[in-house]
Amino acid sequence: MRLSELRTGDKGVIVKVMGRGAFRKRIIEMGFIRGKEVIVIQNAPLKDPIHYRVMGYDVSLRRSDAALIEVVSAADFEKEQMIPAQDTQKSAGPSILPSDNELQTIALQKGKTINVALVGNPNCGKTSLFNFASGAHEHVGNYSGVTVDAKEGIFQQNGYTFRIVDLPGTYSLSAYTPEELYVRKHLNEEQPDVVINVIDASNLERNLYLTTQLIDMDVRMVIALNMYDELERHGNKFDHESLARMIGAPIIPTVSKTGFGIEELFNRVIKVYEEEDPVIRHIHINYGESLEKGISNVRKILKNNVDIPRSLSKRYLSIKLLEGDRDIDSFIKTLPGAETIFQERDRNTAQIEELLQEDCETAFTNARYGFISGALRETYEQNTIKEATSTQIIDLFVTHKVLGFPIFILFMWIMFEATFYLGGYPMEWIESLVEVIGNFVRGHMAEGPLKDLLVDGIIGGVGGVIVFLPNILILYMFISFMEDSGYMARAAFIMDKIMHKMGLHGKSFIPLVMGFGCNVPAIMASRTIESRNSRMITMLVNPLMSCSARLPVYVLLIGAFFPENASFILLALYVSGILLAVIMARLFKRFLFNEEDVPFVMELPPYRMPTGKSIMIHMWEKAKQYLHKMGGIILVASIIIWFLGYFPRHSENGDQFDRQIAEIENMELDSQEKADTIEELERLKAVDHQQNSYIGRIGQTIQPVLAPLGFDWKMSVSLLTGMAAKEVVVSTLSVLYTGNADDDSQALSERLKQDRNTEGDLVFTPLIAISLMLFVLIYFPCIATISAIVNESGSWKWGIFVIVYTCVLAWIVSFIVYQTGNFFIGLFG
Amino acid sequence: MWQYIAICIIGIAVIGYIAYKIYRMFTAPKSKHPCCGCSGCASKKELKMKE
Repeated sequence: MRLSELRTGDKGVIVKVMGRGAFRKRIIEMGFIRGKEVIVIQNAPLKDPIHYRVMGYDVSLRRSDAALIEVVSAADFEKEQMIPAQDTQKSAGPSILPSDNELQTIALQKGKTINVALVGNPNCGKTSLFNFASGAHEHVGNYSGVTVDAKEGIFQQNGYTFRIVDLPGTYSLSAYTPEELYVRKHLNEEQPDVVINVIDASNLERNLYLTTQLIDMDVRMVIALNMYDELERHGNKFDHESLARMIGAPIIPTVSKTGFGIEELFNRVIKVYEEEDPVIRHIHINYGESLEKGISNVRKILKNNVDIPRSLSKRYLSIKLLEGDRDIDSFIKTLPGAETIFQERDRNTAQIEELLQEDCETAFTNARYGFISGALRETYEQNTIKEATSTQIIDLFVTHKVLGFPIFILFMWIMFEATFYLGGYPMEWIESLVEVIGNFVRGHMAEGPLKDLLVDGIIGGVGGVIVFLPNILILYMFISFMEDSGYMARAAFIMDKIMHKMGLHGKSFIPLVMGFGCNVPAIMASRTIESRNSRMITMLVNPLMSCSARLPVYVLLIGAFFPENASFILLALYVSGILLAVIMARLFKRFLFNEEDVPFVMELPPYRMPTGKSIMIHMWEKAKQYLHKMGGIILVASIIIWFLGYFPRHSENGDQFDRQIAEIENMELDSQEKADTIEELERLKAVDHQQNSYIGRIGQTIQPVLAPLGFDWKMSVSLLTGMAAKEVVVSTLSVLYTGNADDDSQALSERLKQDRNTEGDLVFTPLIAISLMLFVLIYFPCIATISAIVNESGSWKWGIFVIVYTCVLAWIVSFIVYQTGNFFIGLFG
Repeated sequence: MWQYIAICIIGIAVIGYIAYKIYRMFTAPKSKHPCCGCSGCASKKELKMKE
């Protein structure tokens, strides 16, 4: 609870004083320190200021200032007492009056919770540090923009509870991008107790730019000198202790991927929080005479304005005003006396610009880089032996204008080859296990509908999909490697030209490639694209990136019909998705989003060997999601499909088949001929039953629309059910294609190859398999993807648009492929 | 006969589950449940944390 929330006569004990700088110091000097009791004497007539008594003295504080003091009150005490009372089913009376000692104990306990914000440049290792410290498994990648929202984690160390927030990566705290505004807002509104500024040791100059802005904001800061191992490996010397003393913030070397230095980092955070750190002090960056004069003039005016919260650093506000920060301008506009402030700002801006012959913002940027350059000159010594780094050598090949593409395609091909062939072994093991379980139930259970449900519905449906888990994990392993090593950023770089032709930037390629894993986080990652046009186009074409949920369909059909050219077909499908995305993006750019985009910089992070642990975490997370899906949507869909395919049980045709079988059994025929005839009649009966089942009727209703693509009613139904999740296409095929499987072949791929219609023709051909795979690739992305598009675009319109365009496009592409293929087969076959 | 009773119970449970999911889809705040209860991707964990 905040001090401002106490009512007249209430008593509280101070937990901590938030805020910063001089304001915080003055409040503490007034006696507002942890463990001390405060009583609210009275509120002024307009509820501001408030009159308090602390340490025997009467003081008045503005409500906004009191809001920065955390206290524990009798009400908090009551809440704490109620929890154990509820646990023991005892009735705790409403009027528990805590003793001073009890309140102090709670205050001291609460005071041991430290709110920490992680701030740093994109791709400096914040999320790795967050994961290591909090034990979370947040997604980490070696490219910028992995964190698109703040994530919170809690852990304990040395008796303190740390509540850490991983903020999106930003290069500065200007107001140009949503991330920058988000971080600034968080620091101003949430007032973390300590900020950990994570800086990349291999790129000090650029990373320290953000540090200078944090110094201006006057936050209590500890610097994590991350990736310290790379700095040492390059033979560079950095006297970080001297720099720490210079800037008044402790600097701790860390390697977040191994955990080196992280314990010490948080021990230092405790010291800073407890104000015991010998290094911490607030410094002012010297911006030079002209700028400092301007800052001083504007600051004077700001200081005279009583409506500006004291918790905001006036120097920081002055700098931001002089820089022409739009966000700060809007804030100042809301204050009485804003006119005077703007007049003073404009006068000083004009003077600075006249003196320095450059705009004010550039002058501040140059001054900051000057400060960094000076600080580094004294503390940093670069290895003079200029060796070509491994990153440079690798980049020579992978970003080469001629070799880049073949290497990219080769990498993709290896990925699919491994996905298909390496995944084939564990897939067979799981397939055998599913078969053993199926046969066990079949052999040990009495005949009846429950047995059919278990064998054909649940084991057939879920088992048909679960076998593809190894393939998906291998695909994920490669995608994680691409992300963590830094190759993904190179892929974006070499694709930049193509992306420009699409009307997008290379930066859009990262969300698109992320779509190979799952479209939903990929659509969320498009938030990092500054331009709305590019962001919208990236989101709209993302469903054409073949996500891992579609992989089971491909592996099943390719394994059945193209075992000799599996990797080539798989690669061709993914490339088809990319090409279609190129065409659609071009069309969207031409007809929907034809405004010019703002330019941006694409960075190439150094290569890093991903740790086995990080890749295992990615794979484990994916396996959990997949198994969760098995127990949820796929299980439910399999049961429903089985019900719809199993009922109604009796039909006129069925009875007629039974009579015919009985007649054959009573006829005097050769035993082999009799068995064959009965088997054929049983097959026709099963086909007839499926066709007349509820699902058969649904399938036959929609089949005319999909017949030109070569699909029978079972495929049509599987596409319908696959709208919930693409894996359901496989589970539906698995449940429906059971009718004419002989007893020895349990593998779904075999059943698909052998399935025949009532005329005795094969239902599936390689051409139909291609047409079906293309349809699955393009049509309706899953419900989760549509929801993500609706949320990110802020309108249902775009969700509906994606549903319509993907379904129409899928139909057109499959139609062209099937009809053209049929034409050529007719011509040459 | 008991097998018919068992599949009836399973059928009712599945219908109940779907009805609950549809109900949640329309009643849950949009900001908290953009995926309509689907757990097919990493965003599920993020949503849980927000809740």
